[in-house]
Amino acid sequence: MLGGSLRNAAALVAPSASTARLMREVYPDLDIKVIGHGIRGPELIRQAADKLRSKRPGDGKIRFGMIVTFCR
Amino acid sequence: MIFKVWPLVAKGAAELHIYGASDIQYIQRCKDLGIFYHGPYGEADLPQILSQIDVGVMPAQVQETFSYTLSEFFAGGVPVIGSDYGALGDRIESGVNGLKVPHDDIQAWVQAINLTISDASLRDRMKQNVRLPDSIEQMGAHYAELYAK
Repeated sequence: MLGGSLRNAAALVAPSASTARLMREVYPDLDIKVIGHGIRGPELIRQAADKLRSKRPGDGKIRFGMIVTFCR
Repeated sequence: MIFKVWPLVAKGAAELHIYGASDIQYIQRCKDLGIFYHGPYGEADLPQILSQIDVGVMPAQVQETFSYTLSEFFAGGVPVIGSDYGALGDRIESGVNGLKVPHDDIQAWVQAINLTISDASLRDRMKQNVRLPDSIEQMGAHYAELYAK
């Protein structure tokens, strides 16, 4: 049923190549385009982060970071 | 995964900082392992957070379909050590904008983090190679092309 709906679509889009591969494993005949998601203002984030980074004290520390939600 | 990996890392001057909401038991584990836990954050905090991070860590244990978090790291010019699994495996180029690690291999994770700590030139090179992710406008243009066909 899902396969029928997908075959009738004018275009199919996955947000990554790996997701497109997963879809092709189930429906090998489908033509799936890859278009990644965009984010808001990446240039502004880069500019602001670079500016703030330049003010960081040179303490020789290497900081690893995770941005994540930990929950059961 | 990270709670198994971090105690085995040759930390030296390295620190691990975690940003985001968490259950209380994970906050306690961070304290026990010397990990800095900063709590929930908002979108406006991202530049400040990203400016404090030299290398992102994303040990995803499920296949991500895209990963906005990876885009946010890249927007901030931060290379990422991530699982070679799902979209992270597609988007991270090992030795270019980060390192890819088998998602469930603890020793490989320890080695990747240790390598990043010991090799300053690798860190610099990866940082220089982090390209900006697509904006919403660029994504919209891709969809507009598709609709025009």
